[in-house]
Amino acid sequence: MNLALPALVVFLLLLPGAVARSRIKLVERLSLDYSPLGQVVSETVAWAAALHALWLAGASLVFKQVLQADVLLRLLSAEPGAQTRALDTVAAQAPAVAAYGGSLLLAAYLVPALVRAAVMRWRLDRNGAPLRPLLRFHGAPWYYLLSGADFPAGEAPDFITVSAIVNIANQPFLFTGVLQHYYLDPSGQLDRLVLREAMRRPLSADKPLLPDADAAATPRFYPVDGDYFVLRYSDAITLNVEYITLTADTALA
Amino acid sequence: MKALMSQLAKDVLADPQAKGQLRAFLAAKSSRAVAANAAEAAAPTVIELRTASRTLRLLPRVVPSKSV
Repeated sequence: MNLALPALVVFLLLLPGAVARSRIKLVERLSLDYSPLGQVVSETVAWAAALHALWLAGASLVFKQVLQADVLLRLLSAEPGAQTRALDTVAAQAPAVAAYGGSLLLAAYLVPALVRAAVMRWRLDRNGAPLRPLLRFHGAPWYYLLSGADFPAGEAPDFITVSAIVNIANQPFLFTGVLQHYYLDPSGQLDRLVLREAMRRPLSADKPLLPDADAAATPRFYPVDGDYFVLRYSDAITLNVEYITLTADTALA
Repeated sequence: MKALMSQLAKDVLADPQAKGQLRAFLAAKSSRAVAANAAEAAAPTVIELRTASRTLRLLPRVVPSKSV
């Protein structure tokens, strides 16, 4: 079997970068990464370079091992004799090379996920945060809208209400309720919303344009039976999102 | 994915009476906005949440989004 050794070496060198790039991102699209090729390549190379620089510095400081650039270049050369000599050198240091590659891959898998969790935990990516341009998950718009991730920690509302107009038998109805869960389809689009305390009314029973003293007292909604109401996003004509906070009423307490 | 919901909101949804008051708030908030625009604000909905030791009186209100 013929093996393109230089291509394999380049692949192995870039693999940690590709793993780290995919692990640090919060993306709502699962099927395909439609990022421009140039962006994918540049991000992968940047991540790989940073990880290798860190690991080489660590190996130099802790184990007094330095990169033998001549061996690496011979691995990438097209001359079979040079490749053989380089492979012999690598084989002589197989445990160290395996430990380097294995630990680097493990770190590329785990560390970005921890960084992502820290960004989400401390909301370093919210609007107004100093590091927002660097840390914002631009591939996850629904996360910011429906998880309240743009609110500073400690100022987050208590829950979200959703109102949607759905056409039923050629009559528009307004559904509203407390948002419990939301699900995305593989392309990253909102698929369905799970509501609690769902209510609905015909859109024709809208609030009056002019203030009416009795308007607030007249019930226009009627409850939807059941604990959870699943609203398919494809059925919604419009979607209204509101953030609700509950504050202790000190005047009445 | 889980939507934003605080423990306090979960407690409200777990209490039948508080849940009913929350539902009343949801149904009335748009009408109340009309009245508020006309400087005829109705009395705000109060949610009473009974805990083991005391009763919490909560005022629900809509807060502006921070997203751009």
